[in-house]
Amino acid sequence: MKTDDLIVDLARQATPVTPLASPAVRLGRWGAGMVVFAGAAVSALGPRQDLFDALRQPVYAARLMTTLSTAILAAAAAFVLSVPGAERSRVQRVLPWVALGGWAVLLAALLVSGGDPVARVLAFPVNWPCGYKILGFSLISGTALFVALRRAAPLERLWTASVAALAATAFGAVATQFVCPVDDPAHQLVGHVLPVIVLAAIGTAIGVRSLDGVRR
Amino acid sequence: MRLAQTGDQGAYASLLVLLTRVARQFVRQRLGAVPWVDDAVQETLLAVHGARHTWDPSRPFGPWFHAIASNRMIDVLRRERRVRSREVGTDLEPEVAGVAAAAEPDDIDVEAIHAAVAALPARQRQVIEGLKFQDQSVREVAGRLNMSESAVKVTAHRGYRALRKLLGGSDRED
Repeated sequence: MKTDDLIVDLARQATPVTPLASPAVRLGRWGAGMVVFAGAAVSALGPRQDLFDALRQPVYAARLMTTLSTAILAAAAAFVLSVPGAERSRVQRVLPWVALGGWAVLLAALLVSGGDPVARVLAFPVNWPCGYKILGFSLISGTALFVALRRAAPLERLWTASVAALAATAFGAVATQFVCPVDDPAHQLVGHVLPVIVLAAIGTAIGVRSLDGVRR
Repeated sequence: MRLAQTGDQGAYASLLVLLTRVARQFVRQRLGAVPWVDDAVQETLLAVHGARHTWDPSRPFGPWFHAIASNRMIDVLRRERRVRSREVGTDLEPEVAGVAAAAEPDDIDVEAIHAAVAALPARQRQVIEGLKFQDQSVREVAGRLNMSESAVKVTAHRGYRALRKLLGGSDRED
């Protein structure tokens, strides 16, 4: 096909379009939706008994903040990457992984300070319901996120899918922390961080395919 | 682009003409006079069309367009390298068959061409019939056969090469 013919063809298809809202606005909408969803789901599942006391504990608050930062930074990067030319710096796509590392390092430090770290991790203190909850929360938030991303035009599918999958799973981990009563860093590492990494990898593989059909 | 987003087809056509020049220059500046410049330009125009709702009128147009052009150029470059690493002479343009036909109208054996096309593998036959006999665009063929536009182009390339061989010519391109 000749380029001139293509131009005529495309111009003929130029129907009015509504400009997409900015990444910040779309992030806000997704975040608001997820807060409502998480609030309802945590209420339905039953929050941990000592939630308000736990929120006042620096360790619990720090753990929650690093997980939340991972989710927010990853979702922000995903929305930015879905719009051509919107990314100001490549640091933006790396930050979520730094936050994920910070979360893992924090837990590792807590584990080491508690003594006998290797044996505690090798005991594989997985509380399966935590894994299911992370999976459930991630599926809902991830689906909503990928639907939103497909409305844009992500050029770098692998990067977009990976940060989006990380956002969804980290969000799942945030919501699960309101329910999970186990504060042992070994459990948090094996039962929360590990599922987030595994599910993010799986989500990336699926997400790349879901972004495949998006016109770029 | 602002007008194009409101559905102004004239303004959009003017913009695409301008972007064609810019995209062509963009590719040539970075990669020189590669034979697939038009492929990269067309892919860029298609991507601009598909992503036109993502341009925010309050933001500059340049970075938005260059991100698309750069991405498309890299994708086409990768594809070309991949195809070239597997095949010999895959840079035959789909139009070449038509050009050759126009240049030598008396030498055409229509029946032989139809017989050769009929002998092609099903996918290649469907693509070539769509592009050449039914005068469909790459996009239309892609939509009809549920293929990507890139896959249609690659299949067409292979089909033309096979046709040359079937019609007694060399399968290598000059």
